[in-house]
Amino acid sequence: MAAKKHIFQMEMTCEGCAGAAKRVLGKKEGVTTVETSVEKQRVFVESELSSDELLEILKKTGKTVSYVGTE
Amino acid sequence: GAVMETILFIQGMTCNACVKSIEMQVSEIRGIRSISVSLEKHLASISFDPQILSIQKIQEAIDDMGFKVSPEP
Repeated sequence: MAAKKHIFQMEMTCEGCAGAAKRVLGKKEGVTTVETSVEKQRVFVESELSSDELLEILKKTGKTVSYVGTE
Repeated sequence: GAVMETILFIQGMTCNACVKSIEMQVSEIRGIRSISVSLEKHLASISFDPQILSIQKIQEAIDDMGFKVSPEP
C-alpha cells in the first residue's frame, strides 16, 4: 500500500504541542513524514497507516483532532 | 488505599496548553490521585495508588502523549 498524505485538523497553540504530535507519530513504523503548521492548526502525515489509526495515535496527545482528508 | 508521591521531569512542554492537556489526560488514568505540572521547572508532581499504578505506567502514559519523561532532570 503506497504511503498517502493524510491531513488532520489539530488544536495546537504552540510549537510544543506540534512537537508532541510529531513525536507520537515519529515513534510508529509505517509513518514516513510528519509536518505541522500551528498557524493553520494542521498536521500532514505521509504514512501507509489508515487515517483511523493515525487519528487514534494523535488523540493520545489529549488534543482535539479531526480528520480532514487525504491528498 | 496507600498513596505514593513521585516527581517526573518532562521535556517538550512549552506552553500552558501542553501543561493542561497533560494534567487532564493523566488525571483521567485510574489510580491517579492528583497531578500538578510546573512549566517553569519542567516537572510534574504526581500522587497515585501504587496498588493500581506503577511509576513505569505513568511514564508510558506521558510518553504516549508525545513528551519525553524521566525520573531525573
